[in-house]
Amino acid sequence: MRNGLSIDILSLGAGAAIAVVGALVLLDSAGSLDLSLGWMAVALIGAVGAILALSGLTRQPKRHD
Amino acid sequence: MTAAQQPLRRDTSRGWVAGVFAGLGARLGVDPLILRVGFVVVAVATGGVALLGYLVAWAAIPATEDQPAPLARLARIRRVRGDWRIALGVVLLTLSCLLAFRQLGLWWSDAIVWPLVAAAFGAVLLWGRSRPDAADREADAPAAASKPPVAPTAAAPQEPTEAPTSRIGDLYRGVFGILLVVGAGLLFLSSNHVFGGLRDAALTTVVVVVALALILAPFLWRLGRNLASERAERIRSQERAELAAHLHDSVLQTLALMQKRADDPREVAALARRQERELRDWLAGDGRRTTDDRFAASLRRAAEEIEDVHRVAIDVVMVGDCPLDERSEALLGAVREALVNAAKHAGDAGAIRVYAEVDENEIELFVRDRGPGFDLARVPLDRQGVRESIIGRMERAGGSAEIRSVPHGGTEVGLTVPRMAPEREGGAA
Amino acid sequence: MNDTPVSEPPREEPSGEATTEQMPPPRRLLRSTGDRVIAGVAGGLGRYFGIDPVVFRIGFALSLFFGGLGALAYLLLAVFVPTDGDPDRAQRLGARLRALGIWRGLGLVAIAIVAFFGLSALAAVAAFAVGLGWGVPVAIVIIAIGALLAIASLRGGARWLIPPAVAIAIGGGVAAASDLDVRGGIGEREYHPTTVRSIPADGYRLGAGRLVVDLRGLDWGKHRVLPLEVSLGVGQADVFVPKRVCVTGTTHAGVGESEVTGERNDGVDVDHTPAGSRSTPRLNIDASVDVGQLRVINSDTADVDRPGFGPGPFHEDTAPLRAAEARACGTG
Repeated sequence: MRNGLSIDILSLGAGAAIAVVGALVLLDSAGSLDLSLGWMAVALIGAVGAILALSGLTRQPKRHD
Repeated sequence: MTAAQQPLRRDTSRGWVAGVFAGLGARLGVDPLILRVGFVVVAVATGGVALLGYLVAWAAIPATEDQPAPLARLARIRRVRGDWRIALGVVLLTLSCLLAFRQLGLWWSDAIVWPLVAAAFGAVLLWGRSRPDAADREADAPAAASKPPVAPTAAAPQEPTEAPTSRIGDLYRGVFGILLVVGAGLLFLSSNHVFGGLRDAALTTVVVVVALALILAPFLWRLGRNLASERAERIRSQERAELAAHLHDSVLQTLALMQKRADDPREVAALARRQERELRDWLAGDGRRTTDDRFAASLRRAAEEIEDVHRVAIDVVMVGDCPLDERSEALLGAVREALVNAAKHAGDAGAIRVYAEVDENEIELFVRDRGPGFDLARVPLDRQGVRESIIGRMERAGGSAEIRSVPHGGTEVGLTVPRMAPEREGGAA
Repeated sequence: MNDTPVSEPPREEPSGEATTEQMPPPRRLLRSTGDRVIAGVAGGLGRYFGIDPVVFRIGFALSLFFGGLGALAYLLLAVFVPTDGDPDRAQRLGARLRALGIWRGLGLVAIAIVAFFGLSALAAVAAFAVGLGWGVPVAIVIIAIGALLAIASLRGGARWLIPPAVAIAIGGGVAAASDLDVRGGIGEREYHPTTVRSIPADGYRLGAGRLVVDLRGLDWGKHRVLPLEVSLGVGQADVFVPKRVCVTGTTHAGVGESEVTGERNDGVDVDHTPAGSRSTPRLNIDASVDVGQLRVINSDTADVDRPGFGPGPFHEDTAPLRAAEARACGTG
């Protein structure tokens, strides 16, 4: 187990982005918000881009040696 | 244990991707190449479905070495750092911003913005290849810059440091860059073909020229840089060779002599003093001798020096004269070396003869001795003496050297060098 | 012969190295430099298998007539199989390709493709679930995975979870935003109403599949104005009307293509309103397809299954359709 303070930024960021998208889907399905495909595309592409960029920034060194 | 009794394993040391066929071939006693080719054919025939079989084999068959899970191995195959992911991620983020602007209505027409963006990304890809040491490159998204509100920032950063990107990565980037630029041009043209007639042709030409410029500019720029650096490298290596040759002539010879005369301390001191002076002069003059010497005088001086140092007799016959220049200096160096060689090996066999003729076009010179001779072919390539100092030097100066030696029959070194400037110095010595 | 007491039978020596024909390292296949017509592939193969190379040559030649896969095999063998003598140009090319990591690249591409398909399936499932009306549960699942990821980040992360989560998010998101609705059932439905009364009040709907509404059996008379609602979730919807019927109304495609009377529009969020007209007989259509293709076809003779024109891979000529529509709507 790693030392307790190390946070995996990628998982955190990805989790946040995905949760946001999920919230949007929730709002749209429940009717409070009618999201057009254009805005959903913005949200999705932005989320994927952010996750990718994060993954590039937080490349872990090889786990097993 | 015969091959048929071995358990089926992937042979990752001999395999190309995952060692499936190498292991299979070893197991079956068949050249894996046949299996691979057959597999490719089957894969093409089945539209790629056969690839699934390969993946299953990869996952299911253990490897010969003790390795972690196949997925972890995948992470090691990648040679480039996570740079492409960052770049792609930022590209997507920019795209998302652009789309947001589009949704908000802050937009030109689709037909203008998308081609521009594509061209910008293509240009960045292509330019990124030719400027590997640039820090964060600012993408020149002209669409973004000219859109009404705040433009999205840096579209596609490149690697902060030039990690050793694999050549295939380079290739992919170049191809994508070109495709993007070409595609952008085509897209622009096709979606804007409302103009008719002449304007159409003009627009097409402009777009083609711009696209070509975007694509070719980095190549040309890199070509120029490569040529320049190549020339610099060539000059550097030439100078290095000159330095080495000079050191060999002077310092190494002196050191060898000092060892031979080690029992005469005054002699050794004299040699050392002389060499020290010569080297200082050489360094101070940055490797050049004074330019108001003339060839004949320098030749005679060199011959005298060597006579002194090596206690031999040298006869010099000169016809014609010329000012000292680069080429004749090189010739002088080669003559020195030849004389030293002759002095070392043939000094006791009578006088060493030097015959030099200077005419309008070239300087021709012979060094003859009547010593025991040697076999030129037997001199190892890395012994400086003959190869570099004489032949190499002459060739670098644009001349030639010919060494003829007969065992027990003496040696003759023939040196020729063309003269440099057209200014003729006619007349005899 | 020397008289050693017991001559060893030709078995492997105890050191483990096989010295006989039963060998772990397989016999190498080499291209022949002596027997070569093009690249010595057939010669090498013949030598390896002990069959006359002519057999292989004929095989390669014949394969050209049957799709040419043999040519592919020949090329691969020529490039990647070494010769038994001095390397020739093909072999050098092969060496360079391998140094470039072509095989590695291809292998990775294959793996990527399979992963892509798996994830696409996941996204499709999510989209379908949303289309079936379970948008809220799907959304909750997505949020839950996101929260799980965030929590896991404090304990070392769970990066493997990210691609599936993204796939589900994309599938669900697109479905929700395009208001995908596949609740109307799945399959292929054909309707041939003969009377106006037999047309359902809220029109024809289908969740996913192919929906065909053939109105040519109706009595259009001279003044029939028929309102019609058609709604399809995912798939293809075709509405057939006689040639002399003019079509007006609105069609909507979430993601896809809508072709009405020969005018084709495609893309995302496509809305089409044919030029309004007062002529009769007339079809007032209100059609929507969430993901797919919608066609309204003016033709007396088109076969329901093979209309004969319309958007296809080669984009056949749609002029007849447009001409028919123009005639019918009086906008010559």
